[in-house]
Amino acid sequence: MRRFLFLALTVLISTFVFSSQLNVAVLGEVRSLNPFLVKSSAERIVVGYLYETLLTERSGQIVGALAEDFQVDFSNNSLILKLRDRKFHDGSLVTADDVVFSFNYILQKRLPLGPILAYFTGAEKIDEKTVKLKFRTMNVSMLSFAPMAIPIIPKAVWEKVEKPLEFPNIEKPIGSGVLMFEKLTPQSVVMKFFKDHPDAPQALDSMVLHIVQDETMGFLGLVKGDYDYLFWNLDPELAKQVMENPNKYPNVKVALIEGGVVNVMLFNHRKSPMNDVNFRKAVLYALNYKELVERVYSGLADVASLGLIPKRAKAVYDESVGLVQQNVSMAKELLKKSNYDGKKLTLLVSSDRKAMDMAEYIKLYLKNVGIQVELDVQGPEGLTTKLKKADFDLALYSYSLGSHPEMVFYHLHSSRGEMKDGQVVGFNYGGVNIPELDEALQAIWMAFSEKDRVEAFSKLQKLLAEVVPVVPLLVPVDIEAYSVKNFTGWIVSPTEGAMNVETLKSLKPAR
Amino acid sequence: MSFSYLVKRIIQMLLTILVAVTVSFVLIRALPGDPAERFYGDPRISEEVKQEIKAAFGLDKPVLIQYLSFLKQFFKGDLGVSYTYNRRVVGVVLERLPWTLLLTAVPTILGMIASLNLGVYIGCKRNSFVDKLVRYVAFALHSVPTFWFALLLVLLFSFKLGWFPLQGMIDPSARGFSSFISLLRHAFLPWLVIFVVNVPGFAVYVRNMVISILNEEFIVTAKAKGLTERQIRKRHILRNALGPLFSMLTLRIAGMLGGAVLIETIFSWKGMGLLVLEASRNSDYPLLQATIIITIVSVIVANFLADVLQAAFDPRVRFE
Repeated sequence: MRRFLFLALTVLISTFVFSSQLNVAVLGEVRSLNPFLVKSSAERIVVGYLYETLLTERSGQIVGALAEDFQVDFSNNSLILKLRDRKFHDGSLVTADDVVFSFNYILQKRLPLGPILAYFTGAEKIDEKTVKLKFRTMNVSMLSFAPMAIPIIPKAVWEKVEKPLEFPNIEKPIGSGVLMFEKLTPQSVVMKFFKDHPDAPQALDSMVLHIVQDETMGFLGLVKGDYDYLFWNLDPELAKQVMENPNKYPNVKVALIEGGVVNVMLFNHRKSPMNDVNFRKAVLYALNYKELVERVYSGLADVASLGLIPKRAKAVYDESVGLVQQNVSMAKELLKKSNYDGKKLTLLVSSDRKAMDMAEYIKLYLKNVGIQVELDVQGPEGLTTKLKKADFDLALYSYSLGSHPEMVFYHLHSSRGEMKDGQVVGFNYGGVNIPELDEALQAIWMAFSEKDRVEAFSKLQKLLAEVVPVVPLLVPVDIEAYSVKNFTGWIVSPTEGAMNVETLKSLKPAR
Repeated sequence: MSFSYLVKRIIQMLLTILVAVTVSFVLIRALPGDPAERFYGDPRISEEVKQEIKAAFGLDKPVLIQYLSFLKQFFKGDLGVSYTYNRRVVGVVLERLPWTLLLTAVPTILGMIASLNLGVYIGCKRNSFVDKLVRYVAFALHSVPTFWFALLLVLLFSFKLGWFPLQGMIDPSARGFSSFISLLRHAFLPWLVIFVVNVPGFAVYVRNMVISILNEEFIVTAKAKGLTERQIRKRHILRNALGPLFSMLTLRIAGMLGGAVLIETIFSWKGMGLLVLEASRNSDYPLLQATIIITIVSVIVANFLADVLQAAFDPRVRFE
């Protein structure tokens, strides 16, 4: 009898323990937990939970994380940040010394973490809770690659690490994030919620990130209840199946989130007729965007804004600019006014199935208004090579602008489209060179306050709709999948999805 | 088999390895894509930083210099540092190798034993029901893609019946002996796939060999001497079938090192197959090179061993 009671108690306890453990699946590899060596999406997710930055982004708005707020000192090209009272996983306080060390460590060790080495000149402690970050120049992008990108590491641990690029950091990584490290196995990362963190949930004890290699197997795991959440975008067709057959997938739920990646058609502005705004507008009006959304993305995408900025960047998105729309007669009229001579143009496209489907439709729409196009299909490497050499007339490409809308500067500013040794120096592959656009892009770079940002971005979006440097096509919806078999209380945010702070706080074991 | 022949074969083998290593070096560098690209994929990164990254990995030097320094290190047993792991590639490969060997060796060895016996049996019972069944199954399995067959087994045994885990190698919560049990449970399905896919085909290969042996005069003599079928099978058929079987087995061992990419992907089994895939996805030259070289070298060495073993087992084979 006693033995039976013991057994029953053990089963009960193990059920409880199992229930408070969230099982999620990530795709790829976890080779190291060194925040300076992140190379896969799985590593990015784990490191993102382990370490924190000073500032972060929410719906296109810059908000505090380890720092409460920031101030810009334009005269000294510097940012001043006030720290919050926070702790590292070993119980020690996050101090100004740790922050200064984290930034200067990157300079000292020449860590290739984004472009920081080119612009950052050093960090200084002002007092126990205040730090100053100094730059060679000052613009909004300094925020995105410094206080929003550099993880704060404990000085006591890392000052002993001589060669950070050879340090896997898998024994005992210590950060200040909501999850702390427990164990790394070849197939999983076991992490515990850090109860001293303000976002730590009470009902959850730990999270196991299962590293999987195949999306289908991951989805089967979700249906079976082995996983509670998948850390990747579900295929739109599969998502549709799940949504249309709730009886077949009773525990699986799909969350549709506003996408941050804008699919665009690039023009090579270095050539005629792509340098003619009438031709570009003719292309813009020739395409049937709603059909593209339906046929290529099974309806799980949004027609893009004429102003290019996706809805997800809520804080700076200007709704009044409107969406792109087909107008065939207008397209034909504009084409007549343009310097298009009827020659066949190449449309560079990646061999990805969706991109090719989209290109086929676009070819038909353009033919319909009198523009002859032939497809140039390339693998990912070939596509990049051709884009870098500006060896195209038209090209299908995408801009990730959901989290950092100011990145549009890098894609459209003339300085990023110059050619050097036969290669485009930056990411403005189309060589867009429109003086008033350069001016508007400079303005968003200097807009730090919420008001200035809204104003500068609104101006930019209106201008983009007018000069059409690229054709904004559509914004694929991010599709997340989660299971309600083991946990209930998922809260889906339209911009952050199902795996967010509110969800973690409200999740409760289903049994 | 003379000593001079053996020396000649060894020199030949070493030269083949050198050529293969050189070809792999050239081919990998001919692939499109810049391996340092992933470090400066960020649109904001400056040219100065890009050059620093290239220099750190020796990618700023001419290809010939890269090749010479690679050869120098190769002969020291050092295949370089992985761009993605930031560690010596030999260490990375050695970590993965046991997992692949565990995944492939068990079903391969069991499969060889099973198919050898089955092949001899159906070879002697030509056109019997079992013979026809094995041949049909072999034909069917040969036509079916392995990943599809693996998915079917997963759907049945893991998803529907829940007898085995869907994927992975060891349950993260398992400790001590339960880790071993967890490993066996995780390995069972991939083992089953490799075993089932290989056995019928290999049995048919043995069967055909047995049929040709059965037509030899020494079998007629053995029968005339009054030996039983079992004795003929054991003393004459099996022994004569062993030579070609050795070549096949050694090649299969070499193949095992390359890993079963599809099986490892489906079952998330972190072996050599996934490592090759990962290295090629990330343009990790040293890692890709190491995995290819290890596979090439093992094929060459296995071929050499097969030749030597065949000569030792089969007196008809002469190497002069």
